[in-house]
Amino acid sequence: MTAVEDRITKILVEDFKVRAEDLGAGATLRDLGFDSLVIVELSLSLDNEFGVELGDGELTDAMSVAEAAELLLAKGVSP
Amino acid sequence: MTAAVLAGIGACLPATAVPNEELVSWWADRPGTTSVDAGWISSRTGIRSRHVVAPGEATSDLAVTAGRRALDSAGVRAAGTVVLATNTPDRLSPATAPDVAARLDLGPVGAFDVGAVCTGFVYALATAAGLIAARITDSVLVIGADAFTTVLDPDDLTTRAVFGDGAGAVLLRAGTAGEPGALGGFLLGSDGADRELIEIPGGGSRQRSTGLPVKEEDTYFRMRGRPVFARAVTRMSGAVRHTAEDLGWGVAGVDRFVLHQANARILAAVARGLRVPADRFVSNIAEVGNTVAASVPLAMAAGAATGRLRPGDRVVLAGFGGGLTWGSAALVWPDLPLPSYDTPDQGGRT
Repeated sequence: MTAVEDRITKILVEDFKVRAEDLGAGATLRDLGFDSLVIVELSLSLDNEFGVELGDGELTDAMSVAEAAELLLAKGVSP
Repeated sequence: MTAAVLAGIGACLPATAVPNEELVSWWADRPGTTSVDAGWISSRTGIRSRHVVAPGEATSDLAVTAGRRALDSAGVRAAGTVVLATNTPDRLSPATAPDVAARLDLGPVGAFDVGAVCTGFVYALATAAGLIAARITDSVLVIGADAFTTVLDPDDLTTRAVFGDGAGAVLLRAGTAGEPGALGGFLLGSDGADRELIEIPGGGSRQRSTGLPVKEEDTYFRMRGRPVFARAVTRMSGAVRHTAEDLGWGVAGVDRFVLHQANARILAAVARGLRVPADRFVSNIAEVGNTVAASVPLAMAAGAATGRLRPGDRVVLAGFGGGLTWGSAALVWPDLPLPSYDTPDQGGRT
């Protein structure tokens, strides 16, 4: 797991009360039971953690942790 | 320097409370709707109940009661000016504040409305502080009041679940910067490019000048929830940080945050982003919902009535609403008589 994925996982576990074992093998945010409002909340937490600005709809419930990390890297977050 | 100082506070909620159970039972009785359980509303919004005006009851009725209670709390019968923040005036024209001033027997004082939707009360506080600093007046009755349920689509469960009616008021007097109750650290902001995220499109000059009849759906309030949620968190967090730093407190040095009660999850997200414990946020949203311009002063009154705001507390106020608009201010909570206000969960209004 990359450093960015680690930081996302920490937020999911500590702030969003996701069980670490549910995050395996490409689980999407939808698989974790995230609805549209939770996606907005997570998006704001990622903005805060990584100092980026994710626009409306950039983070989606079809993304896994790895895909969310790719999105952040594309926004200029250092790996 | 002359500052505006909080000298009295009052609140008013309409007598009828509508709990989630009543709302979902109404919804379930409609033909062709899927059932929703009451817990769904509270888990998404933190709201358990809201107060609604009776037929024929208007914003001014709530504003007069809250205003009288604020004057009583300050132990005075006069105010030099009345500033009313509202988005649901009694009529499209004129403003509602002169009517409120007259019914409070305040005499021929200056009285006007301020429109900044859910940020209205913070904008009105800034306006009042300016009037006092410029020595245009020596005291201002600032009221935030809305009968917002009157502009909701009666068939829209999502907005009916969120919004409620009410009024909150404060009396500001001329005093000295730095004394308990002195307001400072003001920030006001707006972004009109996002005006359509929160709107009632019909009834204004844009629609009337077409000469066409207004479509019914355009006379109702509508809001795009997800982008509004994100902007509310970002803007209120920024405003709070600005105000706390402007006064040299820093966010960590603030004892209590009184933010616009839009959604409990917005408050939680702001707390998380600012890295402050959620219990420093005063919240009465469970009992009253989102009361628009009344939201911040009702939360202040609830905080004072329940002992969550105590003399000496460093308090930051912040609002966010349609426009878009946002704003913040701060004060050290003064030693005031407890507001004439029973929190709704303790048996309704006094």
